[in-house]
Amino acid sequence: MRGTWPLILILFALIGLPAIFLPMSVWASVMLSGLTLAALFFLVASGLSLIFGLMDVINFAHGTLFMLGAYIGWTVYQNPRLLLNVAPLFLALGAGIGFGRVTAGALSVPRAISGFGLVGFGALAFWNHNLGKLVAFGSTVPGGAIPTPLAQEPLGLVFARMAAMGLAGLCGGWRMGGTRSEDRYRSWGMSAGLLLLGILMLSGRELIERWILESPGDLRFLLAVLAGTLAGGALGAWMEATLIRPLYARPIYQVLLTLGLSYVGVELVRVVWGPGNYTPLPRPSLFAMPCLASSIGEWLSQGCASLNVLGRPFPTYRLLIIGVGVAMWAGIGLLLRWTRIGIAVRAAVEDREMVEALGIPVRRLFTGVFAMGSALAALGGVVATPFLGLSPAMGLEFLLQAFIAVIIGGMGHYGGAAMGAFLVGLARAFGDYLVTVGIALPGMAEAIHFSPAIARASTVLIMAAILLLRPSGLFGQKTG
Amino acid sequence: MDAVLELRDVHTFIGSFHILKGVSFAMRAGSLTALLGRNGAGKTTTLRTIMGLWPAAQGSIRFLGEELRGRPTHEIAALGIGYVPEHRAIFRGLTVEENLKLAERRRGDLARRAEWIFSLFPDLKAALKKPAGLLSGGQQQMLAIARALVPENRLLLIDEPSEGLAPMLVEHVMAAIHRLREEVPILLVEQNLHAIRHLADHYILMEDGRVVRSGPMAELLGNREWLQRYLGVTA
Repeated sequence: MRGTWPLILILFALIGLPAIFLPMSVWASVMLSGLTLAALFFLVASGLSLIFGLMDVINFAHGTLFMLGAYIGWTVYQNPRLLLNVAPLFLALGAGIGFGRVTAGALSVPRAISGFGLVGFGALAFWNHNLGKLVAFGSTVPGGAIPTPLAQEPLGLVFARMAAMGLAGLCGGWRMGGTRSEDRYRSWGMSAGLLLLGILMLSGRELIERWILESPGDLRFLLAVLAGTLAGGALGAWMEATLIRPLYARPIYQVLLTLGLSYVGVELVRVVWGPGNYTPLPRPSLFAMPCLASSIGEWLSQGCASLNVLGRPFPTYRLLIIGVGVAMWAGIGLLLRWTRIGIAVRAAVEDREMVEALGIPVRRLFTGVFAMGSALAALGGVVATPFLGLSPAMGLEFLLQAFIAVIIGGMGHYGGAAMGAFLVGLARAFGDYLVTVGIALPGMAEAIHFSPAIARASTVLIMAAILLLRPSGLFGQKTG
Repeated sequence: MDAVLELRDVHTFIGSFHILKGVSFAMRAGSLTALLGRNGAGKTTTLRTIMGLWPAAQGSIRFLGEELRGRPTHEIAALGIGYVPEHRAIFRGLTVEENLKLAERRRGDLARRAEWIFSLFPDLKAALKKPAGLLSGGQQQMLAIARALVPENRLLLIDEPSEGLAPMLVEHVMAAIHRLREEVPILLVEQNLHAIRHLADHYILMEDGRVVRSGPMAELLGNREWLQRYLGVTA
């Protein structure tokens, strides 16, 4: 296979050499740490690579989706009232846009009026909004420091805001123009569904909040994972359909757009959730007990937080992250390999036009893959929070590493993204280890210590080495 | 007789270049029509315009009574048009079977027609699990045609099937097309006049983005002056 020997060389350098020079126990725990990072990098890199392969879009906002997934998951778990009071406004916006587009052809509202309505109603919806109270110390006190009845606005007022947001969406939809006639019923249905969901969420906000906060931690965690992932997918689909789709013919604008969105995302998170870092989410019960299990059986029966791996403790929660990464890798691999949609995606990576000429709507494929990639990144963000906590900058860091992984593997190659993530994860883990321990050479009194920047640079060095040997990455065929 | 496909005053631009300058023709049911002309006459552009890949700026394209202009490519294909583009455009990373499977429009299309398709192209049956990129040029061309036969198509557009093939393979591919003409109307673009002289019922001659002549094939083959003037061949 192409690209085999540079790969073998690097795998030997990252796995073989440390196995020779390090004690087995150290080697194993560094490997596991590397796999943990690799799993998270993979969740971001896989979507990035699929989206590039299929649509030639380099999505700089992919890290932002990782971060937003984390924040939304965290909020569902710790401070659900924030979502319950704000999400319905955006659901109404989406429903409004849908209704607007369906009726645009029949009404033909002048652009000046619809533009004015969009901005005006949008501003009205958030006029004097008490976001701060809803958030208030949510980062430290579950459910927030201010009691919910005082923090949230009266139901009628929030419904009024929702109506304003719906009208803003309607104006936006009118401006965007009509949907195709065959899609009409789907648009009606989806818009009505969004509206209904928003109304239900808002009407039941107190019940839902109490139910979530009083549920056992495991269920809350599961809810957080589901909500974060779904929100990421929905956001990705919305981004593709509204912002990126008009720009397929203009790649430079796309880069500017996604780069801009990544900054907007970070600032949005700073505005809504505050600029500070949040403490990690509590781990599910299987990974939470303060004990050190000596075997896998003991861990599973007692739910220990750490597991003895060859004499060194290893946090069990990280095994969950590895599991999620491996499961997603295998699941999407099977999807691409065996399903009709998967075959269509692989074919469209080669030749979009021909797939379209076979009668397959490639546009819908684009939206689907964008949504799936975004959902994966968001999933990565949620499962990372018990391990990393939350900060507005977390997306950019992961985006950078995922980019390096994708470039190492070859842009647009799914297996390449997995291999790239694996290499980058291992390199980071061994880099971190070398930075903390240093290198002791024989005959020297003290070990040589490196700056932590070396650990980060190590991944870039691997990328540079691979690009010198194979300019299109390990498995890449596509250039540019 | 009813026209399967009828183009009226079709204009297509690529960037600022005016490629099709008012193409009009009608293609009859139950016929194999050869679209002929020199390089750059607009033959490939005509096929791509019908498929909506390079949308027509003006004019009308009717297929079995339905207007195609303004529709997206996947809808045009789904109406029952099979397209075999130049350079084959098979999916090289997919297996032969996946290439065929992807062309299904309804579940079970391939299973229903596999026997017939493999009777036309026995080579493909032996190579089902092989990546299409590893097939020989002739087999790739067969796969490209076979792919258009998987769903129930009511018109085939085939662009230069003989391009880059050895003479023996050209004969093989043309023999398969000969058998197909019994089943489905075909609009065939071909440079190699010799290969299709006994195959086509009708011809459409293009020059500089326009149709200059059309009629029964025998009429063209009997006219040395036209052959020389429009195609540069001495028959």
